[in-house]
Amino acid sequence: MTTSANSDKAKTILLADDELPFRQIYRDILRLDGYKVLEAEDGEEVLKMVEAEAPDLILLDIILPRLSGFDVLTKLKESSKTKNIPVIVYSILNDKPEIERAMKLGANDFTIKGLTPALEVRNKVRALLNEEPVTE
Amino acid sequence: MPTPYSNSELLERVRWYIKIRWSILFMVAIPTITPQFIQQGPNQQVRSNLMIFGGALLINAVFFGLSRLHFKQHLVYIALASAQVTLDMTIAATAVFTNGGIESRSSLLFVLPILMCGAFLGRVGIYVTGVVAASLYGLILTLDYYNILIPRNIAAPALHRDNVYFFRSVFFSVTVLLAITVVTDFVARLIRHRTQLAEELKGVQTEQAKTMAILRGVGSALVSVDRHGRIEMVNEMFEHLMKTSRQQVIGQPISDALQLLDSHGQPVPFATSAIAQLLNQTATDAAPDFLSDYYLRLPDGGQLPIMAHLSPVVIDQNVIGLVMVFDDASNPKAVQQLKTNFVAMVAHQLKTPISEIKGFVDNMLSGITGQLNAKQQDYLERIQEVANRCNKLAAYLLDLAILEHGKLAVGLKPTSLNNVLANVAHIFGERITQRGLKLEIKQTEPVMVVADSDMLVEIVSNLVGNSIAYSQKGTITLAAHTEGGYGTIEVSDEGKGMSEEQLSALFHKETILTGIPGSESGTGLGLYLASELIRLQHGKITAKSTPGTGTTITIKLPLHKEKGSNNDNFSQ
Repeated sequence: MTTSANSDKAKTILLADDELPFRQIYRDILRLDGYKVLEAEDGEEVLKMVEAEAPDLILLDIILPRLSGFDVLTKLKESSKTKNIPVIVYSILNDKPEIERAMKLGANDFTIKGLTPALEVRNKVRALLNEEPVTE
Repeated sequence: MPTPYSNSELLERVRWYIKIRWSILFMVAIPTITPQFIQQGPNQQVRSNLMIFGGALLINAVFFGLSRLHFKQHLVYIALASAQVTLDMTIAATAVFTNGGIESRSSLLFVLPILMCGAFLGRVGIYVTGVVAASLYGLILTLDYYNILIPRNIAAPALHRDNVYFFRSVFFSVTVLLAITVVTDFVARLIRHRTQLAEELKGVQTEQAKTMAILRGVGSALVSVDRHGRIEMVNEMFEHLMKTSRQQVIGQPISDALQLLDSHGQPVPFATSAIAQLLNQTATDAAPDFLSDYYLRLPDGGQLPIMAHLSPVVIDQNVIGLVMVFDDASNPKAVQQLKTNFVAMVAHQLKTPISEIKGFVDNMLSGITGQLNAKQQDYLERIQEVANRCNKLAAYLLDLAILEHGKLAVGLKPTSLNNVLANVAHIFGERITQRGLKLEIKQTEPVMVVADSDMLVEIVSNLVGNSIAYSQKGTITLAAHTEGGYGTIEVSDEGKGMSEEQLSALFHKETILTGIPGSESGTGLGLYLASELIRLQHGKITAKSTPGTGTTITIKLPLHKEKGSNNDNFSQ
């Protein structure tokens, strides 16, 4: 088990998913690297929390209530304050057009729920936060 | 000069113009020349009038001939139309001139060209012609007044030299000509506007007729109601299923015409039915609805099980009615549809819990929950494998449902089979050696086929996955070559093989339910799906097998015909 050795303030990651089990799974993965994990259950909450907490990275589910992941992504990229926050979209479906659409809207990377191994998720996050990859 | 008309419109107008000119020439010339001839005999004025008349008839005949020919260039039609106007202007000027055009009414000869411009040209054209006509007439009068440049033998009437009469003539004629120009422009615009409206209306009517024909002909029953719930339209299938006629139901409230029953045969009060709810909703809330498990009461007292789609009709944010489309749910095709929808829904719903299991297990296996002992590790790996299999099954079911729904998009393009093999070898290379098997690739030539390359990689991967699962030892061989008009991929293994019975069950849909006889896991679904997907790419899939010796599965796809492109992607 590794923990981030950074003594300065822990980086914040916003986890947006309406399903608790997936939030638990990803929360546990992200805490391995010592990040502070915030959680949102719908698209509107994501935007509110981005405003209030200014996270360093967002893990965004595509299918969200009230405001879809696509809509959230569009709104984030519209504002100069939020457009530079890296976003990893993730989806239950390994659906190419959906992923391509998200990438076109400005997502930085993507993962597939239940298909992308934990290690790969961690390294995708680390890469976007300019941290060394883990191998174990 | 700008013209707002197309070639065929211009031609049609030119033809009309020629017809009108025929009649005007006869109507004006004969009543003018005849009395002159009777009174004066064949003097010079009569002769020149006859010449003008004859010349005009001749030129009109030439135009008549031209208007029967077909040209391609728009410019030719514009020239033809402009020539009409110029001709009439010339006739008018010549007639006025030879007749000593001092009489104001002779200016009316210019009316024809101006009017005709209205039929051919835009506003600018009409005004230019009007001004030219007025100036030309003014010029002739002036030249006449000063008696210059006009070598003619007709004795000019004494009036020519009368100042007051001259100025009055010029003023009157020019005013009349300009006024006619303005009126022509107005009328031409009015007519153009009306023509446009008529054309648009005709377009709308055509569309409506088409839509009605489509709706009447669809294989499902269809009924549209207005915002008050009164029936506006039904189609033939509606009449057939409901055993009624449109005369009996149109204008009736839908609550009377369609008695909805629930799955227990109990009447559903109209006010609480989905139809009433949809009609009462605001445009933003109104969403299409799907009803199954309902019945409709038939006039003979029978019950019709239905599957129905309800769609609101929304204009300017208002629900102005709804359209209900329904099928007889006992019809086998409808049942199949329902099953397909159900399979798709179940497969979709399964993906979430399976992914959750995989996520939690994956976390435990990565040590997030602490150190695992060997037994725990082993159990979790087994759970993970089962979850992977379930996930695959759900994916297959979903693909199958999409396939049966006919919505699967196949992107056929030139595809190198050598590249497909290289891709698959890359995916499986490590796994094959880990299992103690050998991978061999046999290809002696570049093979280009027409196929969906992503789909093909998926299918061949599926076959190789099966080969790995059923082989304890030996070599898995991937081969590509051409044979007849086909490009061929072969996946062979030296595994345990299959019996005749197993082989014949391989590509059948029923195998999904029964499994391949004597085999432990349901790979049959994958092969049925593979054969359907290959069929969509106009190819064939076959299998040969001997128990104990191994299995060879062969995919044949149509060759890509174009020469020269074959060598690009080939690497041994």
